Amino acid sequence: MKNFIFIVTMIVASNAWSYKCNRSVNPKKVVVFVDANKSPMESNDAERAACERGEAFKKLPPEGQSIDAANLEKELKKLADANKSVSSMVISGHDGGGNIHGANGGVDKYEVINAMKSAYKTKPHLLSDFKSVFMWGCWTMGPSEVDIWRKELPSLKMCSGFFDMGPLNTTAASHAILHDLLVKEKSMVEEADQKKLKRIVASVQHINQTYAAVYTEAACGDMYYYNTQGDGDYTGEPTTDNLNYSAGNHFLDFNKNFDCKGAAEDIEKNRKLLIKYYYGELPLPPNNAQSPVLKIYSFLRSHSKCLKENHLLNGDRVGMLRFYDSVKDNFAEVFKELNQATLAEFKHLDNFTQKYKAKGKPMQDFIKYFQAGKSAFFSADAATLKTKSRKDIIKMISYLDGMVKQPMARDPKFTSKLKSLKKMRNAMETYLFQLNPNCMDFLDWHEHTPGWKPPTRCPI
Amino acid sequence: MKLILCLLFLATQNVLAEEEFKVFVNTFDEDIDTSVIKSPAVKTTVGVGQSTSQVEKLPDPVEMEKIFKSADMSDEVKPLNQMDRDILFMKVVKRDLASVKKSYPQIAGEKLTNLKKIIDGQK
Repeated sequence: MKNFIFIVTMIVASNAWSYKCNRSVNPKKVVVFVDANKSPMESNDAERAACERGEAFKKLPPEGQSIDAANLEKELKKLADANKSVSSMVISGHDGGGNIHGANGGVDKYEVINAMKSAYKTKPHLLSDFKSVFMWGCWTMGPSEVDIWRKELPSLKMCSGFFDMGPLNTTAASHAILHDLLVKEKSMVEEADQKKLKRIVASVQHINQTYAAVYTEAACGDMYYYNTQGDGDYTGEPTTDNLNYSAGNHFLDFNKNFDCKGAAEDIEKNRKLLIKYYYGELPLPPNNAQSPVLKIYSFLRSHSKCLKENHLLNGDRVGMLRFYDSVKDNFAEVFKELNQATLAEFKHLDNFTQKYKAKGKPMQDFIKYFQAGKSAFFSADAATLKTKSRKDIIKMISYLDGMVKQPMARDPKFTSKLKSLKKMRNAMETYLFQLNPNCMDFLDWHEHTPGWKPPTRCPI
Repeated sequence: MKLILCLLFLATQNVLAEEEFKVFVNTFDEDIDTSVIKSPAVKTTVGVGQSTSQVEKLPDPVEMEKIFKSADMSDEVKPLNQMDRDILFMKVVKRDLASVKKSYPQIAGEKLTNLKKIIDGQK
């Protein structure tokens, strides 16, 4: 009997979750729902909202599949190839440090952004139809998150999610708010009057029971950010001192929050100081609480909104500068074999150049770089490397560079003898000088555990 | 005449076989004027080029503080500077919880477990 009731309940429930739209929709505009954590009620309500908007609906991942960055891009590409645009996208699931995931896989916000850009790269007119994103997971739409979406996809006029924990996907709030926002999106974006906008937001069911956050950009360019806590006096940089999280509905005037003009001078000051450490003009300061490198880091964290994309003030790079000694230790561990091979090549080249010199071959340029004592930079256990400053390391890279790029080095007799030197030069440039965050993970490289090699992501 | 043509042909082949000379210049300092070295043989990249950032993906400091507060860790993170807070947060996100607990003996294990649960999402 229990089994029978269960089966009936499941049938009723699954029927309730399968929505059928009984009106004609524009097949070229699609609301995409990415279900990372099996949320049928949210999916159902999103489909209902798409129907009410007169738009098509697509749920991802397809039945029996899981979602990841590659699958998402593949599915979006199919839409782009069919000349269909994504008007709104909902990503639903648990949020783990910016990654929305669950039983069906997961994607992070950058993967969503990149998938959209890549799928529609040849069809920018369709990409510009992408007007709203709903990140239905915890901590997905604080002011800084909004700013990332705005910067990356400027066509977005509405970004919604939760600035704190989100409701469970089985609660009415999770799907009713989603439905209402999808349906009311057009009127919210068109509404430039704050009072009227507040009224529309207030009419969203259950919104006050959650930590929902909604950002809108009106047609006139005015931007508003709403969340259900805070005092509304949010101007300037968000710090714990000026951001009061007392309860109550409020609007943040987003136009004020991201005025970075005032910070421009300080950004420049920090950038110039960082360059000095970076190029070894100034020795790296001791790693203590007063370290200027730490201050640069704190500054860039609180001004991330004001920094250009790919700015030198990259948190990962600054972090690795602070822990430069550990980075060097890790380098020695990771490139232990290459270090040995480089030493062997130096030794071999020493004999070789002597022989050629004796025969009067034109080796001057090469020898200029290959002076006695230079090879002492490397030692069997790389201990000497660990004692070197950034300035020394930069010098060493240019020295290796000079050797491997000499015309003599093109001589086939030489080429085979310079393999490790070339590799060492590349490794030092990427992992010791550039501190390239594409190649080395800050978390892995910032501390050294003897015997453990942090992964290297770039070939040398 | 044939000999001259043959020699000319060989000479051209040698020129073609010569590796194209390219110089790659990357200035990390955007202030450096690279216009003076403008040439088809010089490929110049000004600035740092495309780079990813783990730090950029973190919640902003205010939001992060709220997350620590939710895990009842406000007192524990108070003495930490922003970078150390970020490292703690990243470790909880990316690493095995047992190793994180070992790295932070000053923080009660249950609090770190709680933080992990909160970050992994309770939605």
